[in-house]
Amino acid sequence: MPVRSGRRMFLRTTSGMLLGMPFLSSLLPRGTKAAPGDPIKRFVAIQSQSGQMVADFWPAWTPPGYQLRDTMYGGDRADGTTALATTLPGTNYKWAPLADFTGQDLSRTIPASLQPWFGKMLLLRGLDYLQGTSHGLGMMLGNYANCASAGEFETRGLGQMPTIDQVLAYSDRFYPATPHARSIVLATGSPSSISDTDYNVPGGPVENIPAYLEPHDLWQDLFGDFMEPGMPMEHPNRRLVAAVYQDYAKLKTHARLSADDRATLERHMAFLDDIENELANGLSAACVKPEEPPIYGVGYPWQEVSSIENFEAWTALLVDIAVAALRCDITRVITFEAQMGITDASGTKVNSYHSSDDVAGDWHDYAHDAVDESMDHAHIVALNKWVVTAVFQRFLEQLDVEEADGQTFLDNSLVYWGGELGMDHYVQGMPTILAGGAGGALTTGYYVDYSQMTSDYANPILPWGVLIPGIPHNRLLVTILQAMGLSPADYERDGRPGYGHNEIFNGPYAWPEDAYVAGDIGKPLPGIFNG
Amino acid sequence: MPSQHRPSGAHPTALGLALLCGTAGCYHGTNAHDDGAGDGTGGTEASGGSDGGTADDTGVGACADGVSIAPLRRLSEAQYRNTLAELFAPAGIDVASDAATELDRIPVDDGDGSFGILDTRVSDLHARAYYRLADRMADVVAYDPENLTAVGGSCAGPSMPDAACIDAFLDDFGLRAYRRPLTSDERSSLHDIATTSPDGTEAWRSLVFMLLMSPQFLYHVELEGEGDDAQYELDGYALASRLSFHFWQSMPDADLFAAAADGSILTEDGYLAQLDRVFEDPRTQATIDRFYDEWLQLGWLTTFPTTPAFQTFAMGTTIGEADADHLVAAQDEIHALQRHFTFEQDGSLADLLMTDLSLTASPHLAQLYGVAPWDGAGEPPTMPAGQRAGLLTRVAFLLTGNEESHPVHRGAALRERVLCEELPQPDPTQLPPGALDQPPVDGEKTTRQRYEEKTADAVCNGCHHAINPIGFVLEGYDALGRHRTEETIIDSVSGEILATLPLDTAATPAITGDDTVVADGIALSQQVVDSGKAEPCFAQQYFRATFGRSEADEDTCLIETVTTELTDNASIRSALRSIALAATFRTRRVM
Repeated sequence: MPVRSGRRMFLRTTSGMLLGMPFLSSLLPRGTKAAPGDPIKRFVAIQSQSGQMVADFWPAWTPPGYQLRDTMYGGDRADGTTALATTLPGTNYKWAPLADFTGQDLSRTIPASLQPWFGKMLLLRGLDYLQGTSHGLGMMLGNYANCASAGEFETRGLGQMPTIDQVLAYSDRFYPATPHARSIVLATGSPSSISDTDYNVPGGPVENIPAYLEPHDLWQDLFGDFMEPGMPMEHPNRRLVAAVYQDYAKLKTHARLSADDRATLERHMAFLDDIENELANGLSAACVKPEEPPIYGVGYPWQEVSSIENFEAWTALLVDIAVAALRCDITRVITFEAQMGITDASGTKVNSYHSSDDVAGDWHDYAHDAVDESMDHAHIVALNKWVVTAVFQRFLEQLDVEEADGQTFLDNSLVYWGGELGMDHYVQGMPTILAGGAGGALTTGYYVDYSQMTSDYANPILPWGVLIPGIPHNRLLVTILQAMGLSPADYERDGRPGYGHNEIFNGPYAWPEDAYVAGDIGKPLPGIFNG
Repeated sequence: MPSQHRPSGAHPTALGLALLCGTAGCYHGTNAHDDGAGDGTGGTEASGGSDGGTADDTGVGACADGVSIAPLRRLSEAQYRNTLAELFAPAGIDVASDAATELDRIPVDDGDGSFGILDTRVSDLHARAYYRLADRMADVVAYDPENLTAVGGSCAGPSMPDAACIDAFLDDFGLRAYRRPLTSDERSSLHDIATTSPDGTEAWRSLVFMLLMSPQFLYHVELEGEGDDAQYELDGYALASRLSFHFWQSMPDADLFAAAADGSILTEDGYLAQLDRVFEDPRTQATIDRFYDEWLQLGWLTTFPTTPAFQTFAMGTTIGEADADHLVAAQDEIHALQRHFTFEQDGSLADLLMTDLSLTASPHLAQLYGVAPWDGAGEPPTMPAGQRAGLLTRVAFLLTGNEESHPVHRGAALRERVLCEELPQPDPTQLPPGALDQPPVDGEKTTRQRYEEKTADAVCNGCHHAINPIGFVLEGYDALGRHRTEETIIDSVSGEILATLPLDTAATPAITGDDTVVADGIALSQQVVDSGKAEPCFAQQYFRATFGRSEADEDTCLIETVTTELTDNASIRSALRSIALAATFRTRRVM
């Protein structure tokens, strides 16, 4: 692929990739250096698009000392998955060391290749999204109001909420100093992302952030214009961007603009400010730029995938450049929406996309037909496995290198893999994997099952299994926010505990009171949070 | 704002739900024409004809009390692309080739299944795209002597430009970039930027960069005009931009700038003259093409599948041949029809919904219709008798993307897009197990029978009773839009033909609120026309597409005016044009 040579290429180097290199926080730019005992925390969220066969994420085999749910419970609760017998201390929930599940694939979806990180992972079962929601990109990060039932939310006066990555991105506690980039939002397939933001304007409109699709765009914005250490001259655009900023500032004072108009200009000014900062502030000496990637012409709509090989390559590059940005402390927040993936279930690699009637692989149709069609079921498994290995595992591999004092970047980070919805648009028991201990804030190395196995709640029997209530997913949001260093005062809104749409505990689109404990919704998940 | 963004390429009604189940009384429509449209504030007499005339009989200033807030907004994606191209075109600079990579960075406007212009987000990626394009185009100008002379005049070169040279540049390129003359303060700032540059090349690069990054270029800044700070009449330059961006999706041309400069655009005759000229320009036709594309969600299918089932289904067609152009031709056909009944004839929406003319030049598409391609000369051919009427029976509207027709998609599309009825998303937890799965192909059942069984549950039928009948009537067209009287059942995996079954297309769509049974696309289209719902829906959709926002209470009069042009005057042309005659078009209300 041709690589454009810019006029200012002389300012740039063609340094090798930093992948696998030790990286010391002592070499980070001034102001971002981690204090002893106060590690820099980073948050990565990855979403698998579309429907899932939820049971495929759980172990369905019996290591020594284990039995299946079929044996332990039988009846409605027999689903062929492994039952956990050890009680999570202080709770009625169960857990088991992930180390007990080595030697073969953990489950149909989670391959054995993740075993090196089992000690740093948490596999969480029994986390329920708000009932009645369906198809919402931001749900795994706390915004249900964009879901397919959005009309119901609007009717009930339930507003959009920033996703938690954006709560972190605009938190002074999370970012004591202004970062180069508050967050980096990535996707495959379409620019619709899992990140919704109000740009830190409380009460302002919440908008979906368009995602980077093209690795070269991402590289250019994160690394392309940064001045190399020791470069003698100022970037020639810096003074121009500063002058443009003043144009916006002057316009903002015009009497014939409304408050909303001014907010629009202020938002634009914030972006200009970011660009100017990037032009002004060089990378640290220890921050090695990734090589400039080729331009793939990744476009939208998604049909422009030129080849499976290219798609694999640019997905890898998106991860690699994002990791480089984390390790250079250009940003501490990454989200990645895998709307397009690859399935090899039929023996040939096929790119698959949600609701794409005119490509070979339609993730959405696979999900709908997976119960009855074994090949569609296999495609769903393969797609999620691809996201596990090509995205989630790739993040782990590159973050699990020493940052300082025997701690790796991963140890101080939290990488969260979740999904959009389960089978038939149900959103109970959403598969969740966490990796990294968030600097010791989480206990890791366990498979934790928050399902209420003895609950008498309706437990409808569906073609693919029984629906057993678990614990509101909101508590995972709280866990993440607190693990990243925020306190409730930093994120709670309108006097309600916790985060997300937790204000409706009665009626439709609610957490049924006979299945969930309302008073706990603002608390972190039991048993894994170390405070 | 967009919520769950439907990707281009996905079937417009396929988002999330293959089937739609819910409760009874599930949809709400816009007011039909006979539900109170035309209350006298903006009726026929006030909204006038399409061929110029006096202020009174053309309705200039109609709906004077209906001025809604016009927020500051960025240029839409299309407007930005078009404006950038036209800004540099007089200098012979082709932005599309000189900045191809940078143009790819412009975020796609996502109207969430509606009009892209409704997406008003300003994100980090927008700011960075503007930055990259400004940087690139500044380079293209400053580092190429020929380009520099073309943009900056003969005085422009590698040496520092003098004040007169900069002024001349700002009077020409600067005016067109800001879409108005620069103020003395703005001139002074730009002079400072240029004269503090290290050399002439950098001075020119800086000037171009600054103009392209300016809010005056990137936003619709309309701050000048007579009135108070809360509401004022637009000045000539802002009005010129309103006209050009509404009808062309681009910046004003030289004539509009001239009319703004001499003030003639602010006179009623001068304004109407410009409106007529702008409306007749081919760029308006392209804008209206785009309106139909987005309104009816055309063009979402870009390739046919290659599955065995589709290959069986497409046997006898030219799909797959090297020059086959079915998909593009299908979209072009809708464009040709709308142009025919708007710009070539003064036709009505009913004409567009009922015409049996075939205007396609594509032999491939014509084959699907069973007509000869039309070369544009003489009388166009007509469709085979009794088979088709207007937009709703054309391939572009009927395509499903595979070998199976989809009565639910078709029914929902017609209800939502053509009649503006709202269909709710069901709560999946209230549905029977597997309710959202598509009914599997069955060699003993037609598509209609499969969907009837699938949606027979009382919960599902609450909505499907309103959706399915429309789709069942349209079962007279297969998944490619071919007319049919029997259905070939094809195994979805092997492609084997399982059966050929007789079709029953008789159903009760109840579009007009009665139980009249219709059995073909022509009768269905006639019912749509008779319902009086299509015109207010068209007016509402056109309003959104042209103003880039949902309608407010103050816009009711304007939408009724457009509706009246479509009904009483029976003129699409007048309706499209009338939107520029309303007070809200020439006025900015701030708050």
